[in-house]
Amino acid sequence: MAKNVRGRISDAEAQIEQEVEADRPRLIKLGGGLLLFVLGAGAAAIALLAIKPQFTGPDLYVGGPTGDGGGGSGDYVVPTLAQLPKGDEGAAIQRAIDLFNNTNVKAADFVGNGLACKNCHIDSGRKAGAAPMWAAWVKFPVYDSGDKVTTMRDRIKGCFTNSMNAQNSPSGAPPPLDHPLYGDLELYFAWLAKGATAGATMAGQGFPKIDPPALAFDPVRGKAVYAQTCAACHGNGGNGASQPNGTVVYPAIFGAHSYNWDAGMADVALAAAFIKANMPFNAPGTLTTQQAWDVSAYVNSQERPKSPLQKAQTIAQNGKANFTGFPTYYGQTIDGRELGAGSPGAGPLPRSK
Amino acid sequence: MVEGDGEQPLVRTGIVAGTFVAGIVVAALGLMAIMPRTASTAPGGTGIGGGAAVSVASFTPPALADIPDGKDGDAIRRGLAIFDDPRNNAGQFVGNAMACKNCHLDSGRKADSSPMWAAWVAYPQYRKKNDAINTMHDRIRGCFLYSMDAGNSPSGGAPPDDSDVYRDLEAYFFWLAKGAPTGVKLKGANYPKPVLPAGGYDPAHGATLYASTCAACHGAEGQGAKQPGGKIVYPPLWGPDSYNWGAGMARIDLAAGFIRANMPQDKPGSLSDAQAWDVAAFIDSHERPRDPRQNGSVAANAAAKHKDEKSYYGKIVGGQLLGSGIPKARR
Repeated sequence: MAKNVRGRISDAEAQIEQEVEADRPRLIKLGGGLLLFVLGAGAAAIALLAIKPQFTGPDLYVGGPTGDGGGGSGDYVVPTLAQLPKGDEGAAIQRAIDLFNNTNVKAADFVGNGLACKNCHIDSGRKAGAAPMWAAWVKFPVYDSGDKVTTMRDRIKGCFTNSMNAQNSPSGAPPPLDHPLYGDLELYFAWLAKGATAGATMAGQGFPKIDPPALAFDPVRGKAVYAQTCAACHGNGGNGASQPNGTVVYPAIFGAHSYNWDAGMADVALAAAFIKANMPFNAPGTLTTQQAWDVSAYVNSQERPKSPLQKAQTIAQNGKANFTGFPTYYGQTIDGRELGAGSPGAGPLPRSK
Repeated sequence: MVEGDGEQPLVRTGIVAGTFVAGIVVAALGLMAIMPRTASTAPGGTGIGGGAAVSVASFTPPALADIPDGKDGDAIRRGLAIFDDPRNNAGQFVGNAMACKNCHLDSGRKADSSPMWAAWVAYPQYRKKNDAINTMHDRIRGCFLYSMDAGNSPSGGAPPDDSDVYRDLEAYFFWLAKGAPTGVKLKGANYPKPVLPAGGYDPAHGATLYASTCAACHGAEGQGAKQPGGKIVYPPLWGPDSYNWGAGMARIDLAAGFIRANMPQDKPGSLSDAQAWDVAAFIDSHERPRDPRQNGSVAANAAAKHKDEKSYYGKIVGGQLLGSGIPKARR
């Protein structure tokens, strides 16, 4: 599949997620008659805690915390800011967190819209089920179609190219591969993953798999959901909200300052999975599966910055080459307009200095 | 044993304890399943995010025979091929006769030989050498620049940043490290640190040792050994085809650690700490390709890049200013 070219979850990762789902029932097998057994396991866990404070349970990879205090409901506990190391590495991690949370300001040369990494990777990349960076770190490099190896550096570059729409940034391109922001970000991700097993599949990785919709997804129904549930933050025009200095408060989810057509989030299925697990921000999990699919269809049937893969091709040609195998509105005609032409005025979010 | 009414409280306690212990054991087994090759873990670590050097976890990398099929296996095999023979598999970027595996023995698998499985989970990290956060990509680039003397390679430099040389090598390292805990210092990481004798190191004594212990393979002039077809059997340790003055191995302390744990190859561990220091001093008191970071004089570069290190760079040995480099043509 061509999916990874534009940085979508790889087939391998998708398969891994399914495997994790399949494993879940097996993890919940302890019966009441085994209380002592559990106590013993608990004692072992406590002993382990004494050795390794980041971990709280024998199944270490069931999720991650939310909120800055850490210690959320999950069992893989990522480090908190209080555990930031001193010195050059601590400073680099702090730079990375700032960049991750305020990308269109801190890496303005390479951002051609009004988005930040944290808009898709919630809680500074820490939230389980929101493609957390601790789970991603231990999976890379990954292998895509053909012989291509994708390192974390490549993957970050892909996020800039598509989710940050680097084509319309001041530099016109993602950060060059020798830019120090890659080192800062990678150190941050590795620090988040400290103690996690290289190559392990951690529950909470990616977005949770979403069931197919009972009815075919429908942007018209989605529009009603959007108006009721999403527009208060993201705006009727999908333009989000930001502070005068450019710091994003609510990300633009379509239009000139949003992710471009090549971003993973323009895949209706991927966005539906993200929305189901993570939106609305103040009450995640409250949308039905059908509503998540429908609102994803609405958001992703609006115009947005053009596909960087299009180059000299027509929309139809590019659609055939790069938009098959997943649900997308790219190249479809909605309200008399062929989607994919690109939003006029695509570029960085205007801001005062 | 537990049948009947006459069950003793003591026995029950035994069962209780047994069940409790079983729980502990199973929990521990569960942990081992999660971290398949890790015998023990501890907090902190000297890798990612710093911390005190209190942790040591054991780790055994997979056998090369277990490289998987498929496109991941293909990338891993390409990385391994570069690692073992960069002159033939990444020759554009190699300016001498060295291979990755010369410093990282057994294809980067051997403990105490800076194994790549331990390095993988320790990067990115801050390095004083370039005063920057270094990813594995950056670190590989450094090996090409210094240990492989890339400035004298056909391309005149290390692999460009978008080269698949990095991707394939990283694929190989990642595969070696699968199952290792991220950011935890592993037993066998880097080289050991042999104790420096009170009297310091002695290159003259090292010369004697070299002649008796090292020269059979590496040659009386440190030139190494090649097969008639050009295949390198033993790497050169100084001279034009060896690592340059910017390489870690040009530091006496690092070379001593490597030698102590790994040399001679047929009898590693047979040299004492003091002997390892002496022979390292002897090897690293010879001229080799210049430090590519040198812009001005050797003295200026010594002050800028070789301060506080145990090295002969910028020192006069046998009337020669070491660090001047060896004139050599690009490969």
